[in-house]
Amino acid sequence: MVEAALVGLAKVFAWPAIGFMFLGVLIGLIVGILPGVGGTFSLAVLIPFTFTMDPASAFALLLGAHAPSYTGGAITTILLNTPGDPPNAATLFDGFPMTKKGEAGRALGAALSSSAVGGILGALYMILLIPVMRPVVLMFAPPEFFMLAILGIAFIAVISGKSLIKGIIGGGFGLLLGLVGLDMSTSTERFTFGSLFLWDGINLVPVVLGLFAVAEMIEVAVEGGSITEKLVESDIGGALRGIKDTFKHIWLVIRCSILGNIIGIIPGIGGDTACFFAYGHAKQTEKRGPEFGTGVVEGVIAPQSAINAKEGGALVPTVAFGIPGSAGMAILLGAFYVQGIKAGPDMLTNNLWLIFLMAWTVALANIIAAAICLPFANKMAKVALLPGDYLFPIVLMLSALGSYSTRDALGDLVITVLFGFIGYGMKKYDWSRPVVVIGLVLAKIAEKNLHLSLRLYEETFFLRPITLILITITVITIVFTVLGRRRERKQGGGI
Amino acid sequence: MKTFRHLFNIAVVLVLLAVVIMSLGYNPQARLMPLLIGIPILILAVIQTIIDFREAASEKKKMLTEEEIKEAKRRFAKEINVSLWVVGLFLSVYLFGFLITTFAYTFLTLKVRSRFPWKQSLGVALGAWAFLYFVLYKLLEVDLYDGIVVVTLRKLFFD
Repeated sequence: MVEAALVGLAKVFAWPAIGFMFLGVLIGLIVGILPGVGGTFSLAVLIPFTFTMDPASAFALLLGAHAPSYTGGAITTILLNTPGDPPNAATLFDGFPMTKKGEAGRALGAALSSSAVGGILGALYMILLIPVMRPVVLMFAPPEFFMLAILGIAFIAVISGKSLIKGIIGGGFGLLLGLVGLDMSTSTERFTFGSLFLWDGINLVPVVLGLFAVAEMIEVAVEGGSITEKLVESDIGGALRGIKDTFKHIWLVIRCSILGNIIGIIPGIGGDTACFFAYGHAKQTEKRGPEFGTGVVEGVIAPQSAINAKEGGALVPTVAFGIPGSAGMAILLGAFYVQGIKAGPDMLTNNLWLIFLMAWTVALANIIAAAICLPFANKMAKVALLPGDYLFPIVLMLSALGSYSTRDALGDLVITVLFGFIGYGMKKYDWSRPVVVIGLVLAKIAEKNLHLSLRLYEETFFLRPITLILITITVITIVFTVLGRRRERKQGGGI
Repeated sequence: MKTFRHLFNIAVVLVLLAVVIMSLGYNPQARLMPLLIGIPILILAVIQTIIDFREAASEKKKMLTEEEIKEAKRRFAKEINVSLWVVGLFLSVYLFGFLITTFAYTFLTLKVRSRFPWKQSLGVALGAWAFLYFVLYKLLEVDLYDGIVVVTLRKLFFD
């Protein structure tokens, strides 16, 4: 195993693999910055170029591009309230408020460094977990997926903002949005109004872009001025402070990266939820939890630590069992076929060095991405000082493009515009917007696995051991949240 | 301000009510989740609306100054104006596609809406268009919508 790890490391640093990895990282960062066009897109675009490459170069290019795309996505998320990718949405809860407070440099520094550390830890966990992964993955069945979704939904109570009732309504609205389209088990059309476009359901990206980016631009245009009037630290100090924050909260980084990695490993729950889980976990466990949502650096560190760690996790079932852990990994499986490599248990015996090469590439790509971006973090932070009049057309155009690119449909553009107005109304009248996103992400997972659980295990499905553990965690989450809110209200915090 | 807040709450209640009524028409398995979620949050939405109404009623009626009324009207007019620009973006993409819209929309918002100088407006619009054309369209080969006007003209003159 040690020999395979060293061979993998040597091949990453060998020419031309290292060159291709640099190229991949640059492409991944650019693609990550563009809203709606994420790592999955870069994998799909780059696969045709790998036909003539050796496996080391091919995977260096592909994973080099895929791994740091969420790192790039954090930049627009923090500066413009425009998530580069759906999982980046969890970063904007506190990232953008930090920008508004003039702490964009610090937020970027924290986001970039925690993504890098999370990515490195994710790769490390991947190496450690591969030998023992099979029984863990097999322990998860539809009842566990259902309970994981319910646990995610319980986090709605945790991050529901000032009003718990409004938070629950918003989360429920998100869940209902997720049910739009053809019902998977009966093929019944639900809330489609006869539109063929809505048969596929409502995509996350157009909703997120509308709720946050468009709504923010409407507000900037109405209020006038810029996103922030001044930067707290205009030199490199801001970014450095963010990096220090990451290491000051290293225990949070470790916890969230483990959480991200585990969720990434489990095929079926969807890696997008990892960052929301991490955010909810941080809000519950960190000292400044009640202040989350107002621009707290821990609220940036938690989701960004999970975001890249989940990719290391998603690689585990992909390489070890041939089961893709995410959409990106499904495309990566195509690259295995292109290279004539069969993903699955054989990889552990015949091509172990390749698994290590992938892990090293993911780790190294995250370091390179952070190293490229960090020196410019404070320069990028100055975007927040630009007059809103400049940002208005640019961000709207980027949002429109991102929305359309998700499935090349104008209907998504309509959804973005519509949710832009809904998001503006929600912001104006103090309704929490992140909870809508969580509901939308989890709706289909919850419904599909509820039906499957009922069919496979009938009503006793919740008596399975892991399901019981998850139920306990869910109950504890809700009880602690409600008690915490009561305590805050008594102390005059106001709910 | 308070009226709009109430209108927003009522809109939420009406949407949820519509969801519940529509769900009742689906077969039992398909309506399970929508009703399981829809009914409780409909009840909560009604409660929230009542809470907001009662809070507004219990607050002492405060007469707005002329300045405050003017400010509220000015803000509302701005909101309508900005909303029209946002809808205009969608219409422009639908009619002329992304390539033309990126240049035209950026230029028009800067020149007409924000009254920026010609040079600045043209510069930013050209920059935005160049990024879209070279990075997305040429380099990344992103499929960009052409717009019905462009497609029709192409069919008329080139096909």
